[in-house]
Amino acid sequence: MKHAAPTRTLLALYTAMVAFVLIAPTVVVIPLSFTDKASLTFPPSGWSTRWYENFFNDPAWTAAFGNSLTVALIVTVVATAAGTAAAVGVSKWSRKRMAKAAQMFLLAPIVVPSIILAIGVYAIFLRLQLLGTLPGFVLAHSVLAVPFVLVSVSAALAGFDDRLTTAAASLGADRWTTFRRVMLPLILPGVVSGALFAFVTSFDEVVLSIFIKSPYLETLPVKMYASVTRDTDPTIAAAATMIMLLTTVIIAVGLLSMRRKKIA
Amino acid sequence: MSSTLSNAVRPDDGVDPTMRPGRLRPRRDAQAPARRGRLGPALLILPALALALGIFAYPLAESMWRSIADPQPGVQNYQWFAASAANWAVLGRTLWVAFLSAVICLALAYPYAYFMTISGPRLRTALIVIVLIPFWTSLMIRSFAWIILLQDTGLANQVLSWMGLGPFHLIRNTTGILIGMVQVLLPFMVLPLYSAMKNVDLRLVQAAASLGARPIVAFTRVFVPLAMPGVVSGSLLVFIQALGFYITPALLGSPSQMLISQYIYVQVNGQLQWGRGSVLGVLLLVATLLLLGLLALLMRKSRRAAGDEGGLL
Amino acid sequence: MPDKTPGAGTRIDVKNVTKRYAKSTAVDDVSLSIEPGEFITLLGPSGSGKTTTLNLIAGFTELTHGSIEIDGQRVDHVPAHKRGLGVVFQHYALFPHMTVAENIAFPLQQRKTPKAAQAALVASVLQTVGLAGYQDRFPKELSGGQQQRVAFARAMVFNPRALLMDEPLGALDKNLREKLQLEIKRIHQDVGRTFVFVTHDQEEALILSDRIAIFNNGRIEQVGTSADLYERPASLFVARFMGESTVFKAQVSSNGSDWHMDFHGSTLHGPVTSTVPGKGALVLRPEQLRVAESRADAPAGSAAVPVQVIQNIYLGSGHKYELRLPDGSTGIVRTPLTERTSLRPGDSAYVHWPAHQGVLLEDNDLVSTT
Repeated sequence: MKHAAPTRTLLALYTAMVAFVLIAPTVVVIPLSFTDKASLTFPPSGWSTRWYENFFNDPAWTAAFGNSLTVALIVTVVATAAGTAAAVGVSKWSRKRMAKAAQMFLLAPIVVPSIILAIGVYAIFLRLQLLGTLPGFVLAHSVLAVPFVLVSVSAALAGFDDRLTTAAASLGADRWTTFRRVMLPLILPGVVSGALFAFVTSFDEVVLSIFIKSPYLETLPVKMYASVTRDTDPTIAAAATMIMLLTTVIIAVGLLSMRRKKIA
Repeated sequence: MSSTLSNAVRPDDGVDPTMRPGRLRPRRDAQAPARRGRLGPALLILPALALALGIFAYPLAESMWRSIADPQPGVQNYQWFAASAANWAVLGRTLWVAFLSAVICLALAYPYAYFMTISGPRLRTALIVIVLIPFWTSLMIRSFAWIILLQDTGLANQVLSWMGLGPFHLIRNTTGILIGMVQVLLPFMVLPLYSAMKNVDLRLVQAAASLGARPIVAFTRVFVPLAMPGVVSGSLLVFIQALGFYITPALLGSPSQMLISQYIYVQVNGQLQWGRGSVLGVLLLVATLLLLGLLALLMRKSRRAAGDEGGLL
Repeated sequence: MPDKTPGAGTRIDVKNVTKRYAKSTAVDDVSLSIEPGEFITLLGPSGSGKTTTLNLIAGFTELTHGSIEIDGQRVDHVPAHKRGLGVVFQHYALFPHMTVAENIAFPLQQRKTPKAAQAALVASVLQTVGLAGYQDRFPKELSGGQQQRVAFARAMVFNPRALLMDEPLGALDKNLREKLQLEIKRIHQDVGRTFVFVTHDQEEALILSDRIAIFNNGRIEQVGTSADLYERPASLFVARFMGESTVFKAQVSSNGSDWHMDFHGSTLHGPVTSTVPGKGALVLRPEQLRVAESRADAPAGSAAVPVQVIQNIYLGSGHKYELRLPDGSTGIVRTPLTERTSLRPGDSAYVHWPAHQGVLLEDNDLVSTT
């Protein structure tokens, strides 16, 4: 559409302002993590890496970081396996109505406000003594991660030509071989991006984690949450920067691997 | 299988099968009966289903049950909710904050999405990336960052005082909650808006001009109504999510002006009033599901409208 | 309703107009005078600049150089909504969220026509295009042809100074297209407005237009009546684009009153009427040519060239021959039934014509056809 120059300039300025609002909080954390003062003032007056040293020297932070990594990695495996199987099942199930209903049910955990889920899970885990345990965290995070795997694998399956499995069967391949040699390679980009989403979902999860943590086992976001509400210590900025770096690297790697896959 | 193949493509009848694409179609349907009744694929769903039943459906059911059974069976928790003005205030505040979030998001996102549709491919890609950045920055980090920026001695107040304004209290109140929520929810407004706007046929705006409409008239009478599905679904998405937000209000809001999710936390974790917390949860759940149903209905309607158009062409 | 006084049309002058984009020139120094009440067609292959020219007149595109005048007034910096021109778009551009009546009333609302008058005008124009009773339908509930009529009604209802149409029939099937062509022609005669029509279909251009402007590579090759373009093409491009032709290419020499060319051993000649090109291309229409089985069968004094028959097609009204010329190019001849031959594919024959016929043009093909 044609626009008079002033209209366009105004729009561009407004857009720049909105873009700034979108980026600002992401950007502000990084310089803050390199401040030399023990206060959260921005912009920092001097620079140091002491808060990174502090992070790695404080067993509470490193333990939380280690727990987060462990939980997220196990969740990635569990959710990717369960989610991929479910996506294939939904797409192959001939009773379309049932399949659709099952899919909607499996997606429900991400549309229900997590606080509601959190109090329910808290009550159940309390009874089953799963609070503050690794299996507890893995189960709770997996429920939230499976929907992302399901969505991204389903999208990949939508582009998959069903006749290929028939063709493979006619060539003598059993079902598992057909899946492994024909279907999986073709839907791999969807599986990989689902796995990345699963990892990030678990690694970032706060609300459920706040309820199911214990003093003996907590994840990094829980520790950060506690730190924000209690201390005013820039170590949290260092932690935030590292989380951001980690998720960015994971997502970039995922995007790159998918692009390579496409070119090949 | 072989019979369906020969039905679909019979080389001996002398007609080039590619000339009759209609006859190739029955192939898929013809396979269906063979598959029907086989439960194999359904078994693949079981692990995920078990997980969702155990860690999603069961806890939700537990919550709902507790709303009428804790500490003793009865509707006393619902009576407690209805009787207290403070409870209604929390509910009202939550709806109001969600509504304001949606309105502010719309005001910010509409020009942004519109600018995306009229800018070149490179700038557009940059704007999409900027919208997606919040998606991969954790909620915690962003709420934390807002605390830094908005605190009384923060950058925002420094800039304001440099302009001769303030200082204002920008966190620990509804302003803080709104700023934080809007930033988090903005992508959910921009993306549906953009996808609706880019589907608007800009030749229609040209047509309006040729019929004598001033640019502002062409925009409001042609472009705006055609992009309306994006406004509706974006606003509903933002509103629904804003209702259930916990982290942002907990960090940027004030304990004296709680939203419903904070109130749930306080009831359950602070006062061990499981029944009351559950009542609040049930209310939040019902509101969310109703709005989701509305969203699904509207989306199906607009999809059907679009489908009809495609069908005639 | 549109003013039905004949000759109440508007004059449009396109003067040395150029439209340049970052990497290409869409319209290159085009000048065109459109007479009041005229039906003019901008004809050319896709990408030739005809639609861009229409968009420049309509005001959808800003020009780079030149000027556009409507009734003597410069309008090239007047925005589209103030030019008062009706436009019918290629894909109709009906507003999907408005009913037929709302679509048609839209331009009247912009002109603050009183409500009652609006309703009357909408009803009357719907009657004209044969869609009375359809006013409450939405565009998607109409067939392609009906949508086209609504688009036409909407562009006409406010009595525009001229009507611009961009391939309005392009999306319709052949039968409907032919029917609507006749309707458009009838409406043009009834309302006496200036019509500017864009198409890539030369047959459509011949049926509709008073004059045709042939576009090629962003320039106008020739403007004229159908007969001008067919009988006196100004360039090889026009000759080929307007109907079938046979082209004989060779070096040309001139003695002042006559030109000569040696076409693979056959001497062709004619009277000099304009500048004689060095590399010549003699263009003949299929009806101007005849086929003979031997040189002796051709009338004395006629020009004749030996050929090989590729096809001899019986058309009912006559015969159509496809011939291989000595330079390898293809010639086309149409003869009436009275001049039947027994020629079969592969036979040798002669193509001949009265020596003064044909149009001698410059051979500006970049690659020779041999």
